Amino acid sequence: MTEFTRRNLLTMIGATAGSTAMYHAMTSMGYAAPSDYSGPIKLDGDPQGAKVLVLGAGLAGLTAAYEMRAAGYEVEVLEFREKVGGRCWTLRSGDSFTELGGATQNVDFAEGNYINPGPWRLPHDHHAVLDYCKRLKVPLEPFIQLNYNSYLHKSDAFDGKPQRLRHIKSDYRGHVSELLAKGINQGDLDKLVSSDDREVLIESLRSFGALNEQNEYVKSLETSVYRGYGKQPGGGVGAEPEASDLLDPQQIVQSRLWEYLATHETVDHQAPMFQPVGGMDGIARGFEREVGDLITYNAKVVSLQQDENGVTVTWENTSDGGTQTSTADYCVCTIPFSVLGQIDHNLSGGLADTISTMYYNGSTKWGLEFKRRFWEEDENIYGGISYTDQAISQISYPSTGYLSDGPGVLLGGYTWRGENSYKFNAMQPDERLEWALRQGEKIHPQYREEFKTGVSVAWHKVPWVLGCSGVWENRENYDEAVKIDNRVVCAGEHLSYLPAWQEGAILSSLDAISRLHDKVING
Amino acid sequence: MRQKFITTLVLCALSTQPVWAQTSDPSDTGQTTSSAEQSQTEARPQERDLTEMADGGEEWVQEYTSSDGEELYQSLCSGCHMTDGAGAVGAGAYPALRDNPNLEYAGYATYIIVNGQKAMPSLGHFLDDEQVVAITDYLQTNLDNDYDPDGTVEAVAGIRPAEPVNQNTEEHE
Repeated sequence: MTEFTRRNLLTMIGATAGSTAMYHAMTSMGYAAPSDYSGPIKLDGDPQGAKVLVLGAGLAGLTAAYEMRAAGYEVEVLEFREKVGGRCWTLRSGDSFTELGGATQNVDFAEGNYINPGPWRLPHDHHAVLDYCKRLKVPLEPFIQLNYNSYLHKSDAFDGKPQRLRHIKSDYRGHVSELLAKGINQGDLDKLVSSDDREVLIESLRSFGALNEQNEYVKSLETSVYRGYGKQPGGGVGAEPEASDLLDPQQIVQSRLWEYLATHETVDHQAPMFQPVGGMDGIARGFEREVGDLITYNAKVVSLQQDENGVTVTWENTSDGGTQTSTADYCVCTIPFSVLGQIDHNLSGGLADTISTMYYNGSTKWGLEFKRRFWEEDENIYGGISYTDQAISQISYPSTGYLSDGPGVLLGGYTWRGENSYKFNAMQPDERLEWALRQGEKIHPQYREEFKTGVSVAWHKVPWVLGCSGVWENRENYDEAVKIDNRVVCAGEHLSYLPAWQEGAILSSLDAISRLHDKVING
Repeated sequence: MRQKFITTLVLCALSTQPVWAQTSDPSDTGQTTSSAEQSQTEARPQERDLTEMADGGEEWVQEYTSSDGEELYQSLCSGCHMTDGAGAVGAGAYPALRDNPNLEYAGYATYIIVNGQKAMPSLGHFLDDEQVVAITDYLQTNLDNDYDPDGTVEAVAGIRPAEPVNQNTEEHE
């Protein structure tokens, strides 16, 4: 038997024992603490007109601007892009995106269709981002993470044929339960299971795995209740249901398709998840309604200097080429370190060290529009995610607009770090798109016939961040990096324990501004 | 108690004794391709071009297996430093490698490729020594650089950190 790593163990626990056991196991191992948010921040005390310069209008910067103005500060925000949101970003019909290298993609989706190239789902336990959605009146709807009718696919498993998640999950659980129940019944586990526990444990396994009275997982209407029928129950003549065949247990185990079951069970992916109606940038727009008047767009920061009197930021107006200067008493800097590391600054110590050493990972996402929702019409998949071992990794179906006629957009792939991300990054958009179609059609043969248009974002080629998210190899300098450096404090997902999540950006910002405010008020 | 129980559950589940109740034929995938209604929408130019490209039939390779410097550069480095080595400028910049005097000796590029620098991730955990040399050879003799390639596998091995980091480990959204 192979030795278990912690990750493998968690994967197996999640797959076998389900989410509750997984959660307890993760908590006891120090993961999966719920986000640290206990309601709207209270910045008491009069800052007496102190001015704060906020660099960056992503969620960290927007949070700082919103809360500090409310607390009585004079706030100025500088943003490199022409709009709010940063990575909280949605591409929809009529948008165009020019990546580094100059390739421009014009998004040709039908009206109302969109793709979120960055964050795309909100966990139920990310309390801060959900609370801001409530306060900013950003309408949310359910995001379908787990769909039992989606596919699991590995090129060398089941002859490369995608398997319904429901079949893998039900049969894996059933076969494993049978194995365990028999082991208990045969007394093989007497040292581990007391006689008091034995009967009830077996009874629970019959329930958990849909086992029969002989503790067997067999083809039957009872197991078909979970894995689906061979012939669905109907009405009237010939309506009697028929049981479905089970997958071969060894084949399931060897297929390793069970690897895909655990993601759904992690606390950040447990139902319900949410998404803003109409696109993730609904959150950015919610903030914009509140603090849009504070933001200067097309402002490229070239220098950040502080001394005993204040903070001076020099920036270029990228629309007219002029250079300008902004001054303030304090600064909340949310510029990603991939960019800040190239800006002339006089920050110091562990913060400066971190700025100059934090690397940014790659990631690729595709939005593919098809002429019709074939995944719904042909395959009864309504939202959720299919996973594959191909480079695209996953296909996610829209959690909105179900059963509508006309074109639909799905997430045609999502790579995270790794060599595949580099490969897609090195491609031009057309080539990237071709690979997404070539791999996606292994799951959905309708791809070529139904394809209409597509867009991809390779995050190392995104001009305003140069990567997807900041990565800590270890957190040796973390405590130093989050400290206020005289008059400047940095914030963003990269300064959180929730990297790449919007929750991390907001929590980092709230923590930074509460410490900064305390310094302003109490010295 | 709970922890112990979970561990038991897992370990038991993995002690694969042939006690499955039933070994059935794999059922079909349930993948229906029912007669799709022919869409009214005309194929767009983008679609036609892509369909033609698809006829190439090339298979995806997950890792970097090439030992050819140009191929490695164009499928890896060029994503940020660009096909012609010109680099790129956004809110920050990717430095140009074209006509770059830092490439006179391979050591500098070797160190950065293996260990990363600033926002650039290290690539040493998936490139072998020969591949790194192939890249520095390419850089030193292409992209308007004209230096004598002096990279060696020994030098690459010497630059590698004692405990290399696999950068694909952290959880993500």
